[in-house]
Amino acid sequence: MSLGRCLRRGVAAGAAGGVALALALAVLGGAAISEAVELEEAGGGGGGPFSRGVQQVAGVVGAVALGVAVGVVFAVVFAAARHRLPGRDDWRRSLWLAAAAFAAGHLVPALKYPPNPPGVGDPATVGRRTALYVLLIAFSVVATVGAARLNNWLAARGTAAAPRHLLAVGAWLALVAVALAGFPPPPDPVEAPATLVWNFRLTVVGGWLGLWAVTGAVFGWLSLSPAERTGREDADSADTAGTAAEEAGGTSSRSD
Amino acid sequence: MEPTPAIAPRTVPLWAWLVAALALALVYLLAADNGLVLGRAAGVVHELFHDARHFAGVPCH
Repeated sequence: MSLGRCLRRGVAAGAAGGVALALALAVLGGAAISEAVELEEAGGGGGGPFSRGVQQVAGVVGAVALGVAVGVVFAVVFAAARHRLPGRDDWRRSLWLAAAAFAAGHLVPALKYPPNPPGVGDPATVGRRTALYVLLIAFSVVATVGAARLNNWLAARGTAAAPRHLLAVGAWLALVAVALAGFPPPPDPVEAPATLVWNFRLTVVGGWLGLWAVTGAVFGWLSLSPAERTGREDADSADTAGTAAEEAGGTSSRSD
Repeated sequence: MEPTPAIAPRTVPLWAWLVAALALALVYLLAADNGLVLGRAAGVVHELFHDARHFAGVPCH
């Protein structure tokens, strides 16, 4: 597939993922945000140049725009890493990459620096919090790529699947644990009601899960040929190829 | 995770990486900048995309 086509698929998949994030925001997260804004304003804070209505519409537009941008990055990384990704077709590779992106780009950073509703957070520390958050994303992306490379390197050396997976996942967990323990704690106290904060955090994780699931699925689907989608024409040969590839993955050497 | 050695690697040209970098920069400006790049306009961008920023889980305020 040409790179231009791959990028257009990324835009389409990212837009669909962004719609999923926007839907989660509008249906699940909007209430928590509005409640938090009311609390913030009751406490004398908040109050900006835009009405809540404008913010809600722009929030949905912004979520879709975020999805498109993320989809473009996804497509370029997919093109570059396709031959290293697990899975015997582009559907599986796309889902794997999306799952890795969710874990490295959102889940790990959120464990250390969980998302907060409006009203939580001191403006004086936002620069430091943003820097720490971006650094932790960078670290967990590097750790994830490193663990995947370790897995592929061991495969090239002929290591059997079970010890290889244990080593790669173990290395990933060790790196993540070091980062979670080593990065400084979030500096601001969380004084908003615990139920509100908890519900907000759950909906944010759900929103990102939705974004990555939809992006990975749409990108994977668009990357398949019609025959691969239905599995009718070459179901037998695909099965054979898959088995052969799995066997080869553990024993043969790789070109890169 | 079963690597499939059957696929040939491809070289992604520089322009594609630049497009990806541009998209990442857009994510940062829309979701996370608080004045480092946008200066005073960051406050307006922040307020406008307020809900999306919070819902993206990015540090705010």
